[in-house]
Amino acid sequence: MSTQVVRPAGAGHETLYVLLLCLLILTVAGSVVAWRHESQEVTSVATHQLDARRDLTAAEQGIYADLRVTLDEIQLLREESSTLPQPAQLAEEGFAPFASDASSVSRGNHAWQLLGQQAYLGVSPNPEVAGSFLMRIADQPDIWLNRQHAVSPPVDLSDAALNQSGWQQVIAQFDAGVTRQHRH
Amino acid sequence: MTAAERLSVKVCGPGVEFDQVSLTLGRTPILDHVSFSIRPGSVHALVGPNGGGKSSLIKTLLGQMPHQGRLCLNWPGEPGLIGYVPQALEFDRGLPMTVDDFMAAMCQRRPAFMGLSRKVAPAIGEALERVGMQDKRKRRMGALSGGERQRVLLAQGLIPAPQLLVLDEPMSALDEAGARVFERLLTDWSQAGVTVVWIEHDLAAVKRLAERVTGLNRQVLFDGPPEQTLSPERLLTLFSTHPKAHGSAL
Repeated sequence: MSTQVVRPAGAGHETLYVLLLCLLILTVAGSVVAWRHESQEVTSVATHQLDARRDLTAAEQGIYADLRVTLDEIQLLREESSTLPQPAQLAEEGFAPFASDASSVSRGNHAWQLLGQQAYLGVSPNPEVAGSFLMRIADQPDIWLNRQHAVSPPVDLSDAALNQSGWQQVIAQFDAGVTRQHRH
Repeated sequence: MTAAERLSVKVCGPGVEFDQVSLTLGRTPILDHVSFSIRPGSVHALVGPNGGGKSSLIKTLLGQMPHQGRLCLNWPGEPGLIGYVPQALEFDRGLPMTVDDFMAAMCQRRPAFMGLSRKVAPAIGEALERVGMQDKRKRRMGALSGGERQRVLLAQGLIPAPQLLVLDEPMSALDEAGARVFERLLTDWSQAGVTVVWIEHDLAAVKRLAERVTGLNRQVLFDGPPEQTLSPERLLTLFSTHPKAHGSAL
């Protein structure tokens, strides 16, 4: 003897099953998200540094990018002649930002000079458009920026000395912010 | 069937218990506190006017309606099979579906276009034989008369053999020969101890064939053996526009 109770159709248990299914899907999706989660590394920019992507004006970004490209050429030329090429020589070859053309004028018309055999200095007469640049040629070449007016060529090219005289190191970071824009 | 015969029958069908079953669709009350019971293994007829809620009651029994109240099937053993024969079958008359195709579609898991499965073919043959449709197996369903189609529907209700059979006006389209077939089937089911719930308009047939009859017009108006319940006054009440409950013989 068995009693079978006829349950009313559409009286809530279907709704319950659908809700339970929704809950299950959300739980699975949520746990997958939690499981595959990667914490985002937030690299902070030190006070004496500038972020190449966010902290530079358009003209500065252009010059910075050109400097990094031309750095390869400079190193090739140095291997050939074992001395750093003069800015005038680079300008003749047409390498930006040393060459004088419409874009270099619009980017602040920097006056480039070679500091010893250590660095290139581009003094900007117009720091509102783009600050002055300093590219150190060492084992680890790097680029510095100074937005002050009337920059005098630094004597001491050490980090601390450059900091003292108002230079900031431009660094390029490669992190998730390359594809995802975060407001700082 | 006499009382002695009835005692000898081994009942395999369930008893059905309607306890204060109500049904409202939209804002229309269809059933209003319907309470009656169907004895196991009996042929129980439901009579009443159109729109009285007979078909809805059957759909409620099949678990397809959002009813209130308690409705239970008391099976003698494990819950068995429920067979259902609908009132009519709606389909396009031009549909190239033969009787065999229809039976295959209803009775087997294999797709009907792949032919009858060997497992159910004998059962289908026997069922069609019982309703007298054996020689029309290759006919299109659309080419059958209403009565013949009703017989096919009855045959479909025989496979697999149910323990509770729910029939929605099976005789409405049957011709005289078909009615005889149906009466024979009803006797067979009764002897096999199958519970039959049967909606019928033909009160003479109900009186002749049913063991118990319930008059239904939104609520139960009477419930009892047909000889006692089918009196002219009761039937007047039953088929009147405003149903009154005081005609019931519970």
